[in-house]
Amino acid sequence: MLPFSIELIPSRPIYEQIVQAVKLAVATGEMKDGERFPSVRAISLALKVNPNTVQKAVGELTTLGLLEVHPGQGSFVTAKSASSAKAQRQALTPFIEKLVIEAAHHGLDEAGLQELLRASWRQMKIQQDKP
Amino acid sequence: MNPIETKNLTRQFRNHEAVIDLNLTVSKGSLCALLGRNGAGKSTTIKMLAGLLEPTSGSSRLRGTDSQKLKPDDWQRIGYVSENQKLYDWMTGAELIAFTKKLYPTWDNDFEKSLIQKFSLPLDRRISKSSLGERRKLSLLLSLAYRPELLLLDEPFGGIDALVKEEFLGGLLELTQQNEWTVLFATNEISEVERLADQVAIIDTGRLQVSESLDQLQQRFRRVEIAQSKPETFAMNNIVGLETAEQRFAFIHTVFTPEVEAMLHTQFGAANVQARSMPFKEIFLALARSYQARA
Repeated sequence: MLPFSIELIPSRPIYEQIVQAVKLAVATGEMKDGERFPSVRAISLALKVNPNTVQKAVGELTTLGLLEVHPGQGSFVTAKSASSAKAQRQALTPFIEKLVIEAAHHGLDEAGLQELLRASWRQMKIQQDKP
Repeated sequence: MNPIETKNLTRQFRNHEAVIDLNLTVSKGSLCALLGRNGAGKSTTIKMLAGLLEPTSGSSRLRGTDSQKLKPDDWQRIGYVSENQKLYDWMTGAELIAFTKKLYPTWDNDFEKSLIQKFSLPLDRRISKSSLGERRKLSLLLSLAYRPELLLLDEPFGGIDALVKEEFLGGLLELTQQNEWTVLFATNEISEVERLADQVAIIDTGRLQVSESLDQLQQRFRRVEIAQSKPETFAMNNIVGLETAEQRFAFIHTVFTPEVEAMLHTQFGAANVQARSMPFKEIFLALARSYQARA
């Protein structure tokens, strides 16, 4: 059994879905800082997915700083501490701009969008007091 | 030496060219999906690889041996399951397994037992009384249990239920990781390809159109959506499937790079451009449509 929840859907690339599932598991505390991350082989067999696809996801998670590879021991989760305000703005602005455009396109006002954001935040059970 | 190599492989039937100048290489340990619409030439290719059909010109080699010169010794290490595998109808499953086992010194009894269990295969029923799915499961078992190094599968998912498909996928992945098996499978079930394959070969009207790693394909294909009306003068290389609507248009870029993205950002504004990577099924459909448009 894998330490993160994932159900593959056909409409998005598989490696992206794995990356997203691990990001969410770390954000919600389902996976903890320092926890051992399963091997490529184990994930490949559990999801019945080609190991190259899993390797690609693990590579991306390592680049993103969510996993750390200890040679000979495997990979471990590193829950990131909060980035600087500038880095946060840089990373999120493109998504938020798109979100605002889509909201306006569907005739949603600012308060309505904020309400939706709050609901999603609660629904995904993101932990606010991360280390 | 690659387990599969073809050189200008060509097959003509009377006035119909089924396969034309096919140059395909599959490297060791690879799981390669052979795709194409019905009648594209997949089965003809696999039959030539297995030496069941002679090429009109060109050649193919399996594990270094010309397909037309494969000997019983070579078949100890090669497995082949055809679309409508012939089995001895008058035997029961158990009898056929016992019979086949004697032909292969490398037969793995434990593996055979685990496959019987995973596929929940009825053994005491005569094959003539078995369903299509049961026959298919039996022929898969017979081709896996002697652990061949190279496996050719023609439509392996036809007629088997979802649960057996999962077990079969798992079995293939486990074996390719343990023993560096090489598998070439022709299929119409595109949704299984992204999970199983690391290499993809696409044939259309007898010609090889794509032979590339799945990773590379997913790197270069993007679905681009632009939140603006399409300018009259808009033109761009390497795009297919252009769709336009009021205030927005979309297309699939087949060689997307950071340079292309930067160019689109300059032209339309970064916030108006959305480029997302695509699941393999969408990539295949875009390619299939572009082949159809060309024809």
